[in-house]
Amino acid sequence: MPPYVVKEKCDGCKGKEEPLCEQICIGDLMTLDEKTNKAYCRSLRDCWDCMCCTKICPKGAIEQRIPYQLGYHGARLIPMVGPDSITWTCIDINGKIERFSFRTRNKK
Amino acid sequence: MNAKPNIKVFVCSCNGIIENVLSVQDLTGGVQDAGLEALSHPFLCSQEGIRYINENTDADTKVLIAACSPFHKQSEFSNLRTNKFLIHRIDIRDQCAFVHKNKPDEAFKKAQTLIKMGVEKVRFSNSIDQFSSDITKTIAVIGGGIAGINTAIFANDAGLKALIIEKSPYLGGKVKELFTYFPRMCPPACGLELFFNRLRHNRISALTLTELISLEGNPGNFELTYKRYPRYIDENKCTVCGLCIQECPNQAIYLPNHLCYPSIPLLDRQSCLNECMRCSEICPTNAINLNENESFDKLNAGAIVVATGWDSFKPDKLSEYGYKVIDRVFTNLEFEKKIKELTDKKTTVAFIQCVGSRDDKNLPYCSDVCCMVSIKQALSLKTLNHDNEVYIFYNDIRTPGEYELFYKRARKEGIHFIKGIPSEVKETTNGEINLSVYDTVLNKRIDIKADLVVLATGMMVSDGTLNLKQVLDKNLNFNENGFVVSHLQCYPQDSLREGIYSAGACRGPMDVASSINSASSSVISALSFINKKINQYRDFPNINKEKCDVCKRCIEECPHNAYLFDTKGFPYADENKCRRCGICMGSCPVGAISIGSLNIEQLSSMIDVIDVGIFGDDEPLVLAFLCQNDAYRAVDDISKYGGNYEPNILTIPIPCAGAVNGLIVAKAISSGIDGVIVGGCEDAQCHFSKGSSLAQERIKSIRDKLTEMFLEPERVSFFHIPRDGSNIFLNQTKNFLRVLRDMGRNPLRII
Repeated sequence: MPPYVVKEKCDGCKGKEEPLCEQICIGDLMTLDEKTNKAYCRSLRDCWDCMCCTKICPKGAIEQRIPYQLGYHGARLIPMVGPDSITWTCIDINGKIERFSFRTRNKK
Repeated sequence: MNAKPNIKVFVCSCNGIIENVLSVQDLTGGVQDAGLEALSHPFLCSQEGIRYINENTDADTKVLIAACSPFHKQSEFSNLRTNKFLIHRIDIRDQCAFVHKNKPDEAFKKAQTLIKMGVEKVRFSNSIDQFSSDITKTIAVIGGGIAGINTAIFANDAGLKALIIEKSPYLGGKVKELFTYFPRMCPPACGLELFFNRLRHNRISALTLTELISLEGNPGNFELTYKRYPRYIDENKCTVCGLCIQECPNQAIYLPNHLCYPSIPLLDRQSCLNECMRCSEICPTNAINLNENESFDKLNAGAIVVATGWDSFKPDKLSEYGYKVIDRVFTNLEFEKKIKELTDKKTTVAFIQCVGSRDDKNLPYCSDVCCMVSIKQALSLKTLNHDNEVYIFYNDIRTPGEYELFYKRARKEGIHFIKGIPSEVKETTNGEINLSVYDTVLNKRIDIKADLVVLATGMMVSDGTLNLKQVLDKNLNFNENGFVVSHLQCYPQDSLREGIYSAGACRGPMDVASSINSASSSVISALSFINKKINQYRDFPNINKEKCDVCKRCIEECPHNAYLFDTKGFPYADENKCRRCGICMGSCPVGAISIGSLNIEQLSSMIDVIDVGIFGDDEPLVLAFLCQNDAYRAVDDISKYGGNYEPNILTIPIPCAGAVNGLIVAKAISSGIDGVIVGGCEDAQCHFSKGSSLAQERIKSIRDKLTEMFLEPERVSFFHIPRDGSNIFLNQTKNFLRVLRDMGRNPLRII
């Protein structure tokens, strides 16, 4: 299931030609809508759910809908990225919350 | 195994004051246990203390000084031999021993944590060298009015080379059109002539009929491209013999004013229709070349002073005053010329104040000089013929300071002041002008007949300033009325960019005296800039190209427009525009930017070493990033007032609230810190204009993220803490800690 861009939060990376989500997307699916200046996924069915765009968005504007194989409607997976850490919040369909913090291999 | 890091920790007991609360020995002991060298001294900021540090360090030792606030005793600690960027100071006195003296155990734990964090900060610090750059010792003054002329003269007197760029054919601006100066009622010609003589005498070059078209280069070495409109008469050859003026069949050559600088005639090519070439043939010095074209040229300047002056408000759309309908209605600037033509025949003149001024639809501000100008003109009329009847219709007479005496003099001279602005100015059938006004003192409608009406129009932003706005782009800051203003109270002469200053009425309405004053202030700033700039540290932002994704957010968010692209397409900060605020560091979504005094590595590893459970498993721990210009110092001041707050708050000074990166806040929350405070100035008071508002924007997106994660968004807060906001900090943090205790510990904390 594809990424969903919250239009109110997205600032199109301040209107430059390539927003971060476009640069990071391995499938080259994210791009900027020239009229609204907001990012969108141009081919929803090709998304691999890697969540790179969700993680890199500086405005936290991209949400990921979890594919049904992993969790039905209501389940959510939310990353919060630090300079060398990532914290995942997993919410299952019953609303149970689990959190995991990891060190990443990024340099600080 | 890594070699032992060359880090030394010095702990000061401040003549026993710190020792009373904290055990210095235990603090140094803790550091030694971590495998680092720690030394203590009773009085580090004394001469012996400084010598003690210097004896125990060498030039590349990283030094952590745990003593008083980093903003105390700065000059003493500047005598250390270590590179300035390898020395870090943390505060275990003002923000620890003093404010928490009732809780020595907690104070000790806090001090220990602060030292641990400080060690990480010095560990990831890098030494930075100084560099020097050559400065062009020239000031280019844009605008040749009274402010521009004086700027050039002051600059020349201060030993700099000055150069005036003026768009019109002659210098002197609006002042040369004036009839008298107030309050001494002397003719401007006298003062202006003296200034012109000084220009001539000091060989200050003035480029007239010249317009700035582009600005390149950096402060200290600006390159200005200008366009010269053809003058047709060679300044150096013309002797002002007057032959051409006499011979021209179309009167296209004339001297517009008796006070002309440069003192050569003006050749109006528009009026010169037939190509008779008589003037060029007759000129004894061959000074006239009618085929001259526009030319472009460049000049170099170290600093620029903008003195583009003002324009008079055009009252055309205020139809009730009959301007341009009745031929005897003038604006006050037009009346300056008209008054010279008046004879001593008895006339009645009505002045209407505040035309267009203090009016939200036109000029929302008071133009400062119009009251004085009208009184001046009224007194001139009285001098011309004491029987002249003069009425001044006003809302409020604003004659501040000693100008009040001038107003009293006008009252004594028998000038009629009527409180009320005419609602209608109409020409009667017998040729008089009738003004109907509601007199708010008499509380009735009256009608006044006058021969002439003068509209006291205000000063508004000049076309020159508006044109310059295109050329200088983001380098100047304009306020909502179009005037060039940066930081009105403290740095009225500064623009957004170093090396560019403003003088005169382009800053806002002002009289001649203030203009000359402003000229000197701009020269002093330019002078100190030119002298200061020679040595500086290379501590501008450094971009980690491995991490940079070229999203260009830093370019967009930099308030000083300092970012450019290098040849490989990566952004870099122009060393001359950058003011080291760190807003780019806060903006970078991947944390690739660091500035000389602070980098992401430092902040990140400072968070790593914090033991979140230090005050107990259920006690909140708060990290406060405070703007070092205002907020941090306000917190420093708490100890001076004998105040105290809970030791659960660890403060980190940062150059600007805008330098806090969202990644760092996310990391703090991820590592179990219960709350994060970012303390900055009020939006309008931010030292780097946009930092505070950008910080709030970033905090908002983190709070949104926390809400999404089912964490309490209140854990991350932005506080407005002004320089005198010690109490604000106390109250806000008290509430903040209460809220944190209510919501319980951060679920991400590992126990």
